[in-house]
Amino acid sequence: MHNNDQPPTKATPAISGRRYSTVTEMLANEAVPNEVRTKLKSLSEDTRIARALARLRVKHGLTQSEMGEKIGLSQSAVSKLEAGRDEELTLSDVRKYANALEERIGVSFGKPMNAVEAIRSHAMGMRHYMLELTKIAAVDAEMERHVQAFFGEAFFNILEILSTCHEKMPNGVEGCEIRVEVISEQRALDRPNSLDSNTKAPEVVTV
Amino acid sequence: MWQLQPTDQYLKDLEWYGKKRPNELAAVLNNLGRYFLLLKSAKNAGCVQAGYIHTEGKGVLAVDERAGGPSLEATRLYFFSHQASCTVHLITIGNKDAQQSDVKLCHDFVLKNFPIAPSHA
Repeated sequence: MHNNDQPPTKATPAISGRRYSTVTEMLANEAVPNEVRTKLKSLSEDTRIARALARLRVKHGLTQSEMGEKIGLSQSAVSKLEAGRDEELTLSDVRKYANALEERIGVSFGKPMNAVEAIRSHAMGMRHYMLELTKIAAVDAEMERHVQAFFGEAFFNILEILSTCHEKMPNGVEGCEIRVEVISEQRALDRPNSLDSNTKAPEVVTV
Repeated sequence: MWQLQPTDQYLKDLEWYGKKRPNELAAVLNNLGRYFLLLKSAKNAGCVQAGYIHTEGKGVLAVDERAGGPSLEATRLYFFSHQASCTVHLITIGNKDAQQSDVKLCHDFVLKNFPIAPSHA
């Protein structure tokens, strides 16, 4: 008989047929008290930034020693930083990782934006940067052509997003139809009236 | 894509620790999650390093309870990452007192199921 406060005697482990893609998925399907799930969620939030920094380093194929060399820390200091809690990190650590890995790292706190707020925020950002591009376009004719081409591409992409969302709406959107169609070169040649035979078929947008 | 595959012993340990040591269990599971995230981003499983990961021989690795909070009992979750099948075999969970016997249990598991496997590296 074993002590109830000590783990029971173990048997030789055998592989089970269960497979999980994440730890969260495993916990959702196994007999684990809610207390553990709640605690894990809290720990996960407390180590979110440290985890992201470690992941960035690994994604760049760097060891902790190599990372340490880049940011002027020892391997053990990098290990401690990545294995610790976010409260032990400084903004300077985050900046060093961003600079060394030539990545842009954004850290935001507080209530996350809902979908509508996020879309509005992105739209304001797009407006700002597109206006910046119009200033760059004023430099010369070639630059203007590039900016024009980019605006065309952006216009197409936005329409494509709207078209996809429209298709996914349960009953469509009343009184509005958006259809984005990319006509292949072959299909364009099948319609000789639509294009000059020497011209490569462009992407055609139907709204 | 990498997946987690528990052993029957690990599932028993998960249940026992869930009831008796929930804080320690949450701490090692958090570090398992961190390791798993790194593994998915890495080109080679053997390159994944972190302060909370310990090598136990024969390709067996363990995560400890680090960053889980104060006054936790030393706890390790043992596993074996098999590169060829992209599977992390979760073998057992144990405390410091049982470390020696747990490591032996893990070695037996690896030798039995992966006799010629060059471990995770």
